[in-house]
Amino acid sequence: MKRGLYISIILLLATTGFAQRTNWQKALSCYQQDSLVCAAEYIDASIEDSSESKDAYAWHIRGFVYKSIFDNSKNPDKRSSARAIAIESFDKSLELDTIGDLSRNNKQGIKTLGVSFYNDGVRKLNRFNVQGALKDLDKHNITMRLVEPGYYNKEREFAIKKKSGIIYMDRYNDNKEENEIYFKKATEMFNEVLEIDSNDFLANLNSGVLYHNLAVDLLVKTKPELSILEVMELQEKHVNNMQRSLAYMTKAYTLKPNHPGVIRALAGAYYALHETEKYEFYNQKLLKLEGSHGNE
Amino acid sequence: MRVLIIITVSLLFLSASGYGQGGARKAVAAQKAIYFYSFATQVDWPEKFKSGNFVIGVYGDKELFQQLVSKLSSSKRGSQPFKIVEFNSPDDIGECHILYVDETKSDVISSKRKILKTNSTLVITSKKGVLVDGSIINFVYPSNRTMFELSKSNATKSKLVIGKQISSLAVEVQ
Repeated sequence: MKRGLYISIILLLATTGFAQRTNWQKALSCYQQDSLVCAAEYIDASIEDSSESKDAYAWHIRGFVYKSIFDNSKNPDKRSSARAIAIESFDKSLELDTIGDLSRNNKQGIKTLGVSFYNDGVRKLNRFNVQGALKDLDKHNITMRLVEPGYYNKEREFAIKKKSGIIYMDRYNDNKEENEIYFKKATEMFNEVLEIDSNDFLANLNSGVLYHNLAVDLLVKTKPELSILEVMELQEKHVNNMQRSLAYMTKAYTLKPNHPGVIRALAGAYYALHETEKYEFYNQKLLKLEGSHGNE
Repeated sequence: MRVLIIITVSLLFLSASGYGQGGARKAVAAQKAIYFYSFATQVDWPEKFKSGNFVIGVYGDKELFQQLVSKLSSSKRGSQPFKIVEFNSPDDIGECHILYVDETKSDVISSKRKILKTNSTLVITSKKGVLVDGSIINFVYPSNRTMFELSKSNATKSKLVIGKQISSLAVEVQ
């Protein structure tokens, strides 16, 4: 990347003395000497200078200077602001570069920084910071779309959203009463995946698990002091949730017909819904696969 | 140089556990156990059975026994504390206010019919056609739901007065 910058610009400096140089040329000299503070001062002065502020090179160098600050700093705030300035600068350079000789490196700079948002998102997920990860995914997409307007990377999108869904699911399972909100958040994450690809196995499986367990919990965790009418209302909710689970699990079954977890869930759902023949079908299949009845 | 960090997916598999037939069996049993509370509180027993523990016996359904213990053992029917008893053989079946008999054990109803009637036992079952053998409330499963049918005549023979809500919500009353 740094090499690309040098190739783009080195010729411009060859015949110019330091005193005669523009601010961006001075910034480039500082940059070459790895003095990023000095480089930043000159390059910021450059874009404030009316004679240089319309120069694609000035913005191009500013992009590299601030990208280097982002790469080399350990301070999260400094990294964050440097990255934003770098992206803005590469983008501005692209806009001003009517000839197009800086285009390739400007786009590469933006893409590299765009990917860094994705990587930050993954790191945040590893620390269970879902909100942060999803914001970074948005920033990744916004940044990548500066150079590829229709950018959508299904693999990256799904990786973050599915893992986010799993983290929400785990939070919900940790304390279902206090963390009820995470049931909704988890199903929303999996739904976002399924809206793009209804054949995603893990999103179907985990959605099915969420609704299956909710259906079970409704009855198992309820206190019995209810009227018969209230019992029947509760049962309606139980049946609705179990049927929703069944829809996801049936889809998952079409994708992986020998997955024991899916077959176990289907057998359980049909048992709960009193569909004896279907329960027997899946129970027998599970028995053949695992040599057990699949009880937990 | 762009370096892409790859998310490992092992976590996705790990979290998809903790569901299946065990949970479903609990749910079906819990549904019945919740009904039991309503039956216990909306059926009137003869005066001589209104003191001491309110005994619910279960024959042939361990999951239901456990759900009844979990849901009812610390509650009362009026002043009567619930006592949940599991019977392992027909000979063990003693005096109880409610007796649940699993569908695989329903033969016991005919053989114990007289004593169950004498003890004003509310016999609850889960097998098609078993009301004619002396069951009073029988679980049935239309449209994926646990509902119940009722034999008012068997209840009357056992000197039990069935509450209006039970009668009105039964899918069939004989």
